[in-house]
Amino acid sequence: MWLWVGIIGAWGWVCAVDVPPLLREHKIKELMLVSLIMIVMTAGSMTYIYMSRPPNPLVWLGKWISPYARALYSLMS
Amino acid sequence: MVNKDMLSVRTFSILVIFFTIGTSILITPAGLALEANQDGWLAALLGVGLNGLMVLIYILLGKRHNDKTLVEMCHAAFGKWAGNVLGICFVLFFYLLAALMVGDLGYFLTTQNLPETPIEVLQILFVIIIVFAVRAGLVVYSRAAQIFFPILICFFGLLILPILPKININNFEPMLEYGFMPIVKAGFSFSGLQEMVVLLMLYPYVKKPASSNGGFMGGVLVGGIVLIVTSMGCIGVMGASVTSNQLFPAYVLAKNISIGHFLERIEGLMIFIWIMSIVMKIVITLDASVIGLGQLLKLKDTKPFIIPLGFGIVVLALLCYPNTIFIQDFLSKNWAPFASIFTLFLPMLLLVVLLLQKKKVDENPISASTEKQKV
Amino acid sequence: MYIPTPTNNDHLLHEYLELNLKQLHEELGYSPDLISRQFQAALANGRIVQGATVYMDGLSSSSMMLQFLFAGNHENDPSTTSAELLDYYQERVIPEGSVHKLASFDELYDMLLTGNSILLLDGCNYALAVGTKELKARSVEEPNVQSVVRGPREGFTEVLGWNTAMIRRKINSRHLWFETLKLGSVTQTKVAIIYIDNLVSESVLELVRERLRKINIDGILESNYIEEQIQDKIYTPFPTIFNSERPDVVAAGLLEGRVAIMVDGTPFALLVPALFTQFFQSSEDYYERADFSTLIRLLRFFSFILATITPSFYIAITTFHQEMLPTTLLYNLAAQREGVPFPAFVEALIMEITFEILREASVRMPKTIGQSISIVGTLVVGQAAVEAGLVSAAMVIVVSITAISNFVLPAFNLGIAARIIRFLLMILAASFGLYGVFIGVIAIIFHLCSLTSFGVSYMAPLAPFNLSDQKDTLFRVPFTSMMTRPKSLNPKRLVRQKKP
Repeated sequence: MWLWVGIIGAWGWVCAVDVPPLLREHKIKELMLVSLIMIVMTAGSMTYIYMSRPPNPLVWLGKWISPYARALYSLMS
Repeated sequence: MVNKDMLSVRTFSILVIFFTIGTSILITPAGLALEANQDGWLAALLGVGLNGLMVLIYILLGKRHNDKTLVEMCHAAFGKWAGNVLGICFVLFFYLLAALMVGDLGYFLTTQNLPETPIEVLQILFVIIIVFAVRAGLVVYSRAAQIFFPILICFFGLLILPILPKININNFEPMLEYGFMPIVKAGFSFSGLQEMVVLLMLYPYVKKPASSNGGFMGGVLVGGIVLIVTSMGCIGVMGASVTSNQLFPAYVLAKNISIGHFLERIEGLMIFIWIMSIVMKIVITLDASVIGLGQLLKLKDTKPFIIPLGFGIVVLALLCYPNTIFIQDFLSKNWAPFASIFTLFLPMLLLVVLLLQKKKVDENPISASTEKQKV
Repeated sequence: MYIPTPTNNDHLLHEYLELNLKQLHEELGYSPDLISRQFQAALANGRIVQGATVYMDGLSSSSMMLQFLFAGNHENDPSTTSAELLDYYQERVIPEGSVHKLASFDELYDMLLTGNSILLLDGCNYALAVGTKELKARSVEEPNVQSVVRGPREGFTEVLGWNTAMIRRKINSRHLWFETLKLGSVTQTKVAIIYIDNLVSESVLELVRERLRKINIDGILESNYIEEQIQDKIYTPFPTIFNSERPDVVAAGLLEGRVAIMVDGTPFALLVPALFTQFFQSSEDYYERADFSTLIRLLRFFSFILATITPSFYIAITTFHQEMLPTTLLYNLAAQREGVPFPAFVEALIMEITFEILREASVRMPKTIGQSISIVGTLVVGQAAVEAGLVSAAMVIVVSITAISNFVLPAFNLGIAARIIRFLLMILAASFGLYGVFIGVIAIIFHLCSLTSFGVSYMAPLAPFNLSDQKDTLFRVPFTSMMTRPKSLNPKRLVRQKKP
C-alpha cells in the first residue's frame, strides 16, 4: 500500500518540479527519457506488488557470477 | 567540465572517508568473523591494504586524466562504441550498488529498530532525502559532509570509548589459528564492500593540485582505521562466534555501551552514525550514476532524471532483497568477486590501455604532428 | 548666472507667481498644512516684486530664513530682475546649509514634501528650495529588543539622517561611503546603502545595488519590505539577512566588509551578507572577556539544538525507544503517563501550541497585565493541566526548556526558524522515532548548506571549512589574536591588525 503512495508521490513530484521547465524549453528528448524511466520504474513496482514471486535481478546476476565466484574463492582456501 | 565551484582536496578526502565507512561499518564485522574467526581484525587490516592497492590504481588513472570522469576515461581508452558499452556497465553497477545499499538500510531499520514500520516507507523516506541532496548538487552535499564529519567523529568516539573497558583480550587468541588463508579470504570479501571506484566519477570536480592524490589515500586510510577499530571492538567485546552470527554486529556492539550505569542502551542514538555515512555513500553513488548517464547520453542537464532514478532505486531494492537469508547468501558468496570486476579488473584494464595509448603517442610524435598538419 | 535645466518638460514652473501658487494648492488638495507666506521684495531699481515661501507645517521651520529675508540688510543687492534677485538671495542672504534651484513641479513636490521650504518670486520661472527641516521624531533611546549588559545603549531612531550620523560618529573614516535612493512609488522612502569603501567586497555591493533597483512596490514602511525582496530567492525559514537596532552592531559589520542598508522610518538596519553563525553572535561577546564569551556562544549553539530537537527527542524516546531511559526515570515517566489519555505526540502538540498562544498573547498585552499573565500562564496553567490529567509533568518541563532555550538566541529571526522546524521534527519523530528525527536533521543540514546569502555560502565558515575564520564562530579568541577579517566575506583588505 505504501508503495502506491511512493509511486503517486514520485509522479507528482516529477510533474510538479521537472516537467514544466522541460516543457517550456521544448526539450522533447529529455521529456521522453524521463517518462520512459518513470514508466519502467512504475512497471517494476507493479510487478513487485502484484506478482507472488517477483523477478529478482540479483538471482540473474548470481547465475552468471557464481561459477567465477566459486573459482575465485577456491583459489583462496 | 570545469566550473568554478570545485572541491578542495580536503573536502574530497572527507567524502572518501564517508564513502569508505558507508555500509561497511555495519555489516563487515560479521563476514570477517565468519571467515577468519578471531583473526577478523587481521583480515580487516588486509582488506584495507587491498583497498589501498585499488586506490593506487585509481590515483594512477587520475594522474594523467584528471579532468575526466570514469565514463569519459572509458571513451578515451576504447573509443566511442566500446567505451559506451563499458560506461553502461559501470553506470548500471553504480545504480545497482545504490539500490542494494538502500535495501541494506531498510533491512537494518526494519529488523533492529522499527519492526512495525513497512520497509518501503523507510526506504522511500530515505530516498527522498537522497534525491533532495543530489538535486542540490555536489557543492551542497560536500558542504554538508564537512558539517557531518565532526558529528561523526563525536558519535564514533561515544561508541568506541565506553566499550574499550569491556574488551577481552582472550577473544583475540589464539592468533592465526587456522592459518593465513582464511584471513586472505575474509580480507578479499571485506574489500569488495567498499567500491571506491565510484569516487572516480568525481575527479573533474576536485581542484587540480595533487588532484585527490594525498586526499584519496588519506581518506581511505582514515576510513579503514575506523572500520578496523569497529571490527576489533566487535570481536573483542562479543567474541568471534557471536559476532559472526549477527546481521549487524556494530549495532549489537552499541547495545553494550554503558556510561556510568545510567546511560545505557543508547544504540538508537548510534544509528545516527550509520544513517549519516550511508546517506553520504548513496548520495555520491546516485550522483555518480546520474553524471554517468548524462555523459553516456550526452545530456546537458541531468537534474530532471534524479527523481525517476531515485524512485527506481526503491523499486530495485525491493525486488533485489526479498529476505535477509538471500542477502546474506548473496553477499558472502557472490558480491566480492562481482564487485572486484568493476573495482579491480576493469580499472586495471583501463589503466593498461591508457598507458599503452600514451606510449603510442610518445613514440610517434612526428607522425602525430604531420597528421595534425594535414587537417 | 546659473539657470537650471528642468528635468521634465511638462511641468515647468510658470513665470507668474499666482499661477504657481494656484497649481501648487490644487495639486496638493488644498491641504491645510501647506503654508504659503507671501511677501514683497524690492529690487535695486526700485521695482517691487511679489514673492512667496511655501512650506509644510510640521515638517519644516522657516523662521530663520524668513528673518534674514525680511530683516536683513539688502543694500548690496545688485539685482534688476526677479531672477537676479533669487540668485542674490541664494548666494548672499539665506544662511541655511542646503539651497537648490529647481525648475519643475516634480522636483518642487519632492523638496516640499520632505521638509524643505520653497521660495518663489513673480517673474522668475525657477524657484529655490531651502533646507529647513525640523522633524518631530522619537529621540535616541536604549533599544529594547536587543539590549546588553555592558556596552553602548543608544539605538537607531526613525529618522535616516540621525541614524547615518550615529554611524559616522562611530566610524570616523573617510572611507565610509553612503549611497541613497528612493524606493516605493507612493511613499518615496529614502534608503541608504552604507559601506566602507576600501574593505567591502565589490560583488556583494553590486548585488545589493542591482536588487534594490529591481524593487517595484508602492510603499516601503519597514526594512522587512526590502529584506524579503532582496534576499536570495530560496524558500527557507532561516534568515539570510541580519537586522539590528544598534549602531555598534552595524559598525562592527561594516568593519568586516559587510554592506548596511538603512531605511527611513524604521530603526532596524539590515546587514548583508549574513551567515548562519552570525545569528549566534551578540555584540556583548566583544564587550566581555574572551573565555566567558566562548562559553556563552557554545551555550547558544547548544540551546538552538535544544530548542529544535527536545520535543521530538522526548516523543521519539517515549514512543519508540523506551530502552534508552534509565530505569528509575522510566518508572516515573510510565507512572505519569498512565493517567494521560493522549499519546506523547498529541500531548506535545497541545503543549507547544498552547505555549505559542501564550507567547503571542504576552507580546500584545499592556505592560501592567503582561507580567502577571506570564507567571499565571506558565506556572498555573501548566500545573493545572498536569493535575487535570491532560498532560504529564515531564511534558511541561520539556516544553518549558524548549521555550526558554528559544529566548537564548540573540537574533529573533533565528528563533522563528527554530519554532517552525520544531513542529516538523515532532511529526517525523512521532511517525518514525529517532530515525525520523535523524532524517529530519540531515534534511535540515542539507537545506542549510544549499543556502547562500548574496553569493556567500550561508554555512561559511563551517562549510566550506575555513580554519582562520574559526576564531570568531564557535569561540571568540582574544582581540590580540584577531589578526584577519573573515575570509568568507571576501573583503578587500584581510589584515585587521599587525602583531606588535
